[in-house]
Amino acid sequence: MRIEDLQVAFSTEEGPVEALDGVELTIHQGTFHGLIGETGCGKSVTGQTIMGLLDNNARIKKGRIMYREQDLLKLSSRQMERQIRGNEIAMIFQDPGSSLNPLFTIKNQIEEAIKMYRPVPRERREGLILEALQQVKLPDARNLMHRYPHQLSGGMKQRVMIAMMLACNPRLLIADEPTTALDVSIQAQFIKVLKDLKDNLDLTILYITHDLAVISELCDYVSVMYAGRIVENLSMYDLFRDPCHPYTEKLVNSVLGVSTRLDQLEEIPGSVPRLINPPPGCRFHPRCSEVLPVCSQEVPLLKEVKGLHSVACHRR
Amino acid sequence: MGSTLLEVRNLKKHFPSTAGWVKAVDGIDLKIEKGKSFGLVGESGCGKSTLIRVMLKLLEPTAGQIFFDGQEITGYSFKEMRALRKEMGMVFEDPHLALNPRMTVFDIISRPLKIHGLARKKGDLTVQVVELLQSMGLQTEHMIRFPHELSGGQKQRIGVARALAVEPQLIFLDEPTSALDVSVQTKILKLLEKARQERDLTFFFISHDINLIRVVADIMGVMYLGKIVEIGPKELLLDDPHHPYTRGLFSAVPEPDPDHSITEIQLTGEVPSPVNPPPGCNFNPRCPHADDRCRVEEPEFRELADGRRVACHLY
Amino acid sequence: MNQELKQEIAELKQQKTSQMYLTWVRFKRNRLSVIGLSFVLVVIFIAIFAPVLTPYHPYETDPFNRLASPSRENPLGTDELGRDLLTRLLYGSRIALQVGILIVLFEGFIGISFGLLAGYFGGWVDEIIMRLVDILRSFPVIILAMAIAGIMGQGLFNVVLAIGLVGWTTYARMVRGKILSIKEADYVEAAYAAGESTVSVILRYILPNVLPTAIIMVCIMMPTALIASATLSFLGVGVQPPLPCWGSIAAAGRDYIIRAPWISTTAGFFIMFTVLGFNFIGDGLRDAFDPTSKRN
Repeated sequence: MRIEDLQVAFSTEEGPVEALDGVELTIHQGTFHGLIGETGCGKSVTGQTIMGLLDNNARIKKGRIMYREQDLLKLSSRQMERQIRGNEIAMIFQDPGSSLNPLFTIKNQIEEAIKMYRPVPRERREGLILEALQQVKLPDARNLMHRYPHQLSGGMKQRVMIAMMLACNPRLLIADEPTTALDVSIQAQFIKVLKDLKDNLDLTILYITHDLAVISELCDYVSVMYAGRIVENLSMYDLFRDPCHPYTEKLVNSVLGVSTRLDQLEEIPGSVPRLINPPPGCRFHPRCSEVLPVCSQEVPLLKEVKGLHSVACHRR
Repeated sequence: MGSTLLEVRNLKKHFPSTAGWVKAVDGIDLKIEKGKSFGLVGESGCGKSTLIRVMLKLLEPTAGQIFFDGQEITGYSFKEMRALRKEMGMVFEDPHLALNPRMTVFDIISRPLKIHGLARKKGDLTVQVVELLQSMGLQTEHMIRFPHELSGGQKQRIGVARALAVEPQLIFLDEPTSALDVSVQTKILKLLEKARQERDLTFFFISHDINLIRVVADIMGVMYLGKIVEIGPKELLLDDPHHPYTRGLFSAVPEPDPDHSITEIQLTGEVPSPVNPPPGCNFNPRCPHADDRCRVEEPEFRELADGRRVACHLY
Repeated sequence: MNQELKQEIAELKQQKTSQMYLTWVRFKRNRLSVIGLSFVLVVIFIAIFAPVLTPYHPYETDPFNRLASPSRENPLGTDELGRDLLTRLLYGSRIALQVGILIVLFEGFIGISFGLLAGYFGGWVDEIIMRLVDILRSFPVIILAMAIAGIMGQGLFNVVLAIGLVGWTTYARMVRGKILSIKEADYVEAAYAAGESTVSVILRYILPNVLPTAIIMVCIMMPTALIASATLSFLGVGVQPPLPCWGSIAAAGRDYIIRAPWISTTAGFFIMFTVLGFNFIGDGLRDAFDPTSKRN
């Protein structure tokens, strides 16, 4: 999948908000791609745009989302529903509780999804459901599938969501902060499940989160977003060892880890800008410590530093 | 060893519910030394928020005793507590919900000063508020703003300023950074540390974020299902966690380091309901070392030679 | 530094705009609510200047000029007793506003007080008040009003009593719900943690956050009160003739709906105009009181 120069604006009471302004990123087949950024940077909007699930007040102004030789933005909503959503690209959300229908059993719901997206004979469906539930390491899958969502805990529901995706066999999975609502011990179990899937299946994931630690556990490539723009695309290793953009660098240095001490933590002055009236030029320049005169005038474009590592900064 | 500022003995708080009594806090023994920073870690629903609210007497304890600065305050009336509130501050998790939306920043910060009659002299209140704002890296003009006009980080700094205003001895911090973005949390943590050193404060942090507690605490405690399972100096706990829950919890934390990864899952299953905690050691259903004794006999919370306390039959 | 600071503080104090002003600015931005306000102002204007606006007296009958069509002398014609219809409708605004305001004050005062008590104290106080609310809400207003009229006689104050007796329950429920949510708010807990007294918490933290809800309630309940009182008059158990009341004018016109359709329709129009005005204001106030909507 390749996203090119994507611009999305929301019309609000206070005026237009340019939620995405020229987002460019490429997700390679079979990799886990992390999309990181802070609150309101547009990372969730990116996910929603790919899925064609934007709210009514949103307008796609420009750009293409190329998925296997076709532009998703050119498809009608009917085509999206039939051909793409569910069987090609699936999505899991932050709150697993609200994505499951409380009136049906787990089995019913997964079966329903299979019926819609995967043409297999009726007899094989139950096997598929069982297989999917076992793949996400849910204990006692045979009994569990006859339960209702409210009988499961948050972590289990999240795994059921993944099982449902797996049963439909999508090529690309978009995960929007799937572990934010979970406790660490449950999150660890969840991460382990995803890692095993990565080793065993040819799955591609776009993992949207603000948590750099989770990214380091899971992802191969990372795109860093700031105020509606991608500031840096790089490998996960480079993210922690060789970040180029001042924002990426500061962000990485402000994350709490095992051996960090308070005096080692970096702080970024100021706060995230509101997108209703973003700073001109590079949107990070008011908070940047290496600012040049050109930064407040020209928007920096993504430049390649080395293979698969590109950065949008006038300094580099 | 410094002197003890706050101590609780066998503190319990049970809530009624349709399913039975929810044992949110179920027998906690704890000492906080003056000038130290205490960090309590626990997953959601372990009772840590209830604990600090009982310690602050915002909730009445079901059983147990609370001592502040050597005095038992368990039976203090609402009125008696009011005078003591000057000594204890609190910072909340979500700064947006913790500030009255219809008060200006000036009113929010000056209220505690007025309540406790701490305005230095007439007309100086504004100066005091401005000084507090400046010490938090905010400007004078923020005084006339309403909370919704500020960013999350700024709001939390107002929350800290309010807690610091009356120069308390002890500040409770309930997940002070978890509602904030990474890029602004450092600022808050540094301001807090600076205030602690300058004013000789004692901190009591609670958080689900082990990495946060690692960074800010001197003494660390781990809470599970209404009980503290292990307490000790931070280094001791981090280098060699004893209790199986502590070990499992620490191993589950993802590291922002590409060379590190979670290898083995030590904590399986889910936290049981606090209405009907398992008999014996309440961690036994999830514990890899559990034996028959753990299923019937509750382990004592005993002190080991190295100065830590742990509630486990293994030690 | 102190001098400089004082200077800066003084400047800030000038900059500081009051909450009331901000609310007005936000209110003004909503076009519909401004229209609503102008409707209501027109009605108030009419009520005050009715004697100046028309040369007739509302009770002045003219037996030779009954049910006349609109003409130069009688712009809306006359009614079955030959009274000028426009005059009666203009004077009717006095009755409407009187009844409306009395009802809203009566039920608002009782409802908000009981709502506060129930919400803040909870427990058995809450239990008693809310059960009373449940009981009263199961009373059909119209039949209750008829009963009151039967016992105490008809008249303006009995209309107020009948409608207010049931109407306050709506306020009580709203206010109680709002208080329950505010009581749980972190900022109230923070206030206690800072050492605020109970009285101070109620006055500084709970009331300022409930008050906007209460004011909006009044604006939204005003139309309900107007319609209810008009209905009672229409049914003949409300304000009694010859007092010019829109509800009873509409009722009287019903008998001549073929010969003089303008009687009932114009009375209905006056009711609609006023009700619409208050409804628009209520909607606008809801947005205006929300402190999170941005300052201009």
